[in-house]
Amino acid sequence: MQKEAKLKKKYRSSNGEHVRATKKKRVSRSAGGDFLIVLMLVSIGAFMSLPFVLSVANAFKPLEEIFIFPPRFYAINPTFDNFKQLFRLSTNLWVPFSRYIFNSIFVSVIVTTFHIIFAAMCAYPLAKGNFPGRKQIFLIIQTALLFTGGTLAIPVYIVMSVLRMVDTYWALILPPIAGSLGLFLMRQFMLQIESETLESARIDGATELQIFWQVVMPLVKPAWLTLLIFSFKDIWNATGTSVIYSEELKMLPTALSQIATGGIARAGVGAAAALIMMIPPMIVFIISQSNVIETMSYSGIK
Amino acid sequence: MKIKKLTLTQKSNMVGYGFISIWLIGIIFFFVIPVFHTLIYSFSQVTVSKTGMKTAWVGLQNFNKALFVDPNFVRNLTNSIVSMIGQVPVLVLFSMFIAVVLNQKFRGRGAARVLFFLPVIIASGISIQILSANGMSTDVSGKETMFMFKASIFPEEMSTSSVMMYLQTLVNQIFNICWKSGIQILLFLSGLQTIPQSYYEVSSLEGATAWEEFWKITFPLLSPFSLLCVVYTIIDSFTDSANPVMTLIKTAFDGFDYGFSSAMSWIYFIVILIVILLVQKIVFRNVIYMED
Repeated sequence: MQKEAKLKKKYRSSNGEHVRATKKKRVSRSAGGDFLIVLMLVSIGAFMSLPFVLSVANAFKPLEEIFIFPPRFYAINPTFDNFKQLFRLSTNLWVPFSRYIFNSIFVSVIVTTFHIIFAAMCAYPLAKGNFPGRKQIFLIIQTALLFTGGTLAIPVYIVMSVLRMVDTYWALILPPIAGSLGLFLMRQFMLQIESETLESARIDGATELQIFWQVVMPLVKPAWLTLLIFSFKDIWNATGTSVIYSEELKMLPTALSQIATGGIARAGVGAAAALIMMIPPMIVFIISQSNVIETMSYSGIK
Repeated sequence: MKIKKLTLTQKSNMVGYGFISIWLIGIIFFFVIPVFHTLIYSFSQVTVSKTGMKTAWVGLQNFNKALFVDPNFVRNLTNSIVSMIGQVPVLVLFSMFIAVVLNQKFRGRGAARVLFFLPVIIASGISIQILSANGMSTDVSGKETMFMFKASIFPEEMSTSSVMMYLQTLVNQIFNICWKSGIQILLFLSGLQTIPQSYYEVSSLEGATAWEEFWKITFPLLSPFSLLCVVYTIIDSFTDSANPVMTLIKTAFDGFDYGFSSAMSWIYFIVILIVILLVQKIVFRNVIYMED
């Protein structure tokens, strides 16, 4: 098994060299075309960054500037007052602010990790296995994707109360782990894996679990890195207000929105809070994306 | 010999079921059971009292109300299907194009990727809620804020024909499309990583142009991911909380009319299911998987 992994590494690195070689070749394309592409990217990109620029600017605006209409994309007198006020407000809370931060990070990390692992574990046999009933199971999962969430709120609550999960971490953690978008995504990627690769691992005597961890998961790295972003972003923003009542179990978004939505006077604080909330998903995105770029394409064994 | 082989397949089947079982438990608790509940609600008059929820069987009354009595439901449903059909192809092609461009090696590629993902981060969840709760700009996410970019590029008299109407809505929706394409771009980007580089090497040795490479290699090999993106986009556009049908369902739900709201959800769900199955069967007949 180890030998195979080594071989694989070797194979990949040689593949990487090929990639670099082709990339070098690509530079010689027409400069005009490149220029057009850059121009287009820059213009669309500038267009898309406007709301972000606006929310950054708002966080640094003094209160009287926030309400200028039409909104300005810069602050005339930039100030840190909003952040200072947010900090002051957050230290005066009933439950220490660090508790909310802990809750959010704890729940987000657990949900994201297990969502990826379970989604991948379930997607693997659905994509590559060949046993009776897998089509039907996939159909159930696909319909779960389509059913609109809103009306399920009450029945889900009933299920939770029967399982005595209401007002515990479980109520926050379990339902998103069972979300089906991730599974659909992982399956679509795993269909791309060549069966010969798995077959050769099987002949070498690897168990299915070993194949899953050591062959399948590395091969679909781009998929789960992408899923990592989706999952983290969703759970980071989840409030869970309908299933969590204890103040000390609430998540950061709930706390921040309680602080920030205290009327017009808190508008600046709100902008600062919103900006802070955007930072962790962005960090996850950057980490994940820089790894996706490094994961160069695999080509299996042929 | 035969018996032995059978047990082997059975054994591997068991492993397969074992892998799935964890997930299946989750799906049963948080999807299958709740869905059966809503099915019961949709055939009942649900009343909430101090002692709890009571359901009384009313047969098809709720469905009848949704389809034939309520003036908005059917109209909103057709509207959202029509707008979905117009939007999905443009959105998916746009994100595929952007993904292919972002997959090239150029300076500042990382920054460019962040730029295209920013809207997703801003629009999801609490940031946008806080921003809009303060009433400083009612929706930074929506196209309304970007009114300054909404221009009728085409003269009035031209916009009578349906083709021009379509083009004009497209122009007006550029912001919307850019804004909503973040996730699709990411999906395509990771899909692009699965295409072996050696294919491009061979084709460039054979003298294929970049244009030919795109249509003969990239496009077909991306087809499983196009399917993924199309399904995602359809679901996203149907279950978006701004969707008129979703608003109807939510309003009925908030008004404690659970029976009616569940009935509408069920009709809506069946319509979405039909749309998705049609797309899979007709548009994506020829999805190409690497294995073949």
